[in-house]
Amino acid sequence: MKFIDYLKFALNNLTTRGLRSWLTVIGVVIGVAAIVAIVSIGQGMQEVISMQMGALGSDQVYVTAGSAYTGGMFESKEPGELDARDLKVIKSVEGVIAAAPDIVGFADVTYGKKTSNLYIMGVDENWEIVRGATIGIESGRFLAKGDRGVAVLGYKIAKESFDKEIYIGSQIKIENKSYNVIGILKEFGGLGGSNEDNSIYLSLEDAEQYAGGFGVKKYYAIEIKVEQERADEIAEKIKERLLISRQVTEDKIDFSVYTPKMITEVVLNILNTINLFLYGIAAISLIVGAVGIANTMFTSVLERTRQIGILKSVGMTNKEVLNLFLVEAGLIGLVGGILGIFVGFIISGTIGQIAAFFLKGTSMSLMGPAGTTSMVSITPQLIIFALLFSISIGIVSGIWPARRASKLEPVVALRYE
Amino acid sequence: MEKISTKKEEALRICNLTKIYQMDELKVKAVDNISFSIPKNKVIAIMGPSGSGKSTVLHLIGCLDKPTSGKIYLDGVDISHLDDDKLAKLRNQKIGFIFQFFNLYPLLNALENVELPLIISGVPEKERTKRALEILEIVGIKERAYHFPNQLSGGEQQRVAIARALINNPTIIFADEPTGNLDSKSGHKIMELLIGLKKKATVVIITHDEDIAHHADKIIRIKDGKIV
Repeated sequence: MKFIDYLKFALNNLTTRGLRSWLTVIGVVIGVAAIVAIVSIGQGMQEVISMQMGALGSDQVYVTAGSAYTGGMFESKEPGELDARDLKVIKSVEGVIAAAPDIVGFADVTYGKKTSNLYIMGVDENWEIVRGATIGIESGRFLAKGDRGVAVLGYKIAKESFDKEIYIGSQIKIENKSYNVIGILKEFGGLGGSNEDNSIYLSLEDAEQYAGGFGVKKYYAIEIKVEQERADEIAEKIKERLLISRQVTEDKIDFSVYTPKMITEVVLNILNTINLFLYGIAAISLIVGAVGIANTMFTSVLERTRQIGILKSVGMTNKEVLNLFLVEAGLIGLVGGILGIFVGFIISGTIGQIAAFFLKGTSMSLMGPAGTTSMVSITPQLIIFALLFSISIGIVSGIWPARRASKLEPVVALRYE
Repeated sequence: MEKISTKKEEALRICNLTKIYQMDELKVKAVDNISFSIPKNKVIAIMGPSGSGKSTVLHLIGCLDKPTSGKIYLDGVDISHLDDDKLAKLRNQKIGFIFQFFNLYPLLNALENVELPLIISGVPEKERTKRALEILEIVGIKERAYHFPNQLSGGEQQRVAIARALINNPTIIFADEPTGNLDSKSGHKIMELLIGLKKKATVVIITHDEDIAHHADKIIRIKDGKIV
């Protein structure tokens, strides 16, 4: 029997049982759509996060105080603070281009009639060098060596935090002390606005009085710019030198050293774990779809017992009957797969659009290919995989009922009422 | 396949054929050590009351079932112990069936039903359609070629079944109560058609109707699984 004739038979049988066939197909559609949507969003997220992290600069190393972050992705096991001695040690490591300490805290800031408790960040002129291209100046200038009593504002602080917009030359009050606004940063972005957009930048000396953010009174972190191609090696060297200078052992380490690459790996690992969990859920829905196919095929074998007898009486072999049912089950998988891929794309595309809406104007929107937010990644491999997978699911679920049909004795099948 | 020298004019020879059905612990002997031969191009009637075993004999000699013991020679070839695939091939190429309840494939129209054995044997569509239309014309139902079984009368359905039985130029045609589900007028026409088929093949008719049996060249009577 020719394959085209198997197809005609299968189509004929499936269309005759129209509603039941479509209900079975829907089971496969849900499973395949779930897998396609989850995989495409998962891949898209990974790409965006990799690009986002990459934009942080592969030439940067961060050292944070143990009192700020302990456990999780951070190495530090004990609380501890960073100070000027640590900064000196770091600057002495070969390959370090610049190092900028951060002091963080919260303070009441008044402009016009409104007072808000805002994030204060003490930095020096090196911060601009370390951050490089990731920050930009909207107007005015950044802090320079020896600046006192002046402030640089994050984009949202200047535009949104007070009743009226703050411009260069305006005076703001931080806990009764006046600061002259000398610069406003460009929008950095990020979901809901990043730290950088919501910070007020003061000199280290001015910021000291407000220090204590997150329980750290001295340096909250030291941001370091290093030779790009040796970032990992230099990060390791900084760690070694700090362990010696701070006289702590690895098991009681009270600071963390990491690079954007390490953060990316940790974030991607977390994302992979979440993805695996979601794949599991999608797989369950596909298994339900497969059970649906098996159920439909079993019912079909039962209903068509006499027809199988007729086919066998005119010479159809066991193998041909088996093939006939497998083609039918495979066809359910194929149609379910095609529709599932289509629905999956619609779902992931919609989620991508929603993400694009929320991330509009943020740095994440700039990270996608061609300047668009690409939280969704649809690859030809994914389409081929989904299609082959759904056909296989159809055939595998059809094997058992198809074997039962093929083993029917013609004389028994013909007698079946 | 074992070959024996059967007489040239023999289409089928049955030797010591027995069929026992095992029903739980009960053994039922449906066919009990029967032997007979069927000459070529003749109409043979196998007669007997209900439960006599005549349908079982038809299923055995029609390769739809396997005997417990004994031999069946079709064209001199022992077919009693062939595997399922070889039996299917025989049914496709050498045997034609006509059933009491027509047994047409409900999802195919009359033409496609007639084509069915050719579809299975892989004959190209153009050729099989041509042959099927020719045979539908012979059985007088060409104008109903594109009607589905549920759109045909009993007599028309049986004509389609006869056309399907003839499509592969079989050696032997088995008809199981072919007029049992038809009115007398249609029954007569079908019988005329069947009697006429002996020019092309051997025709074996299972019936309990004496009138039909009178049309046969030879009558084999079976009772309690034995020839009487």
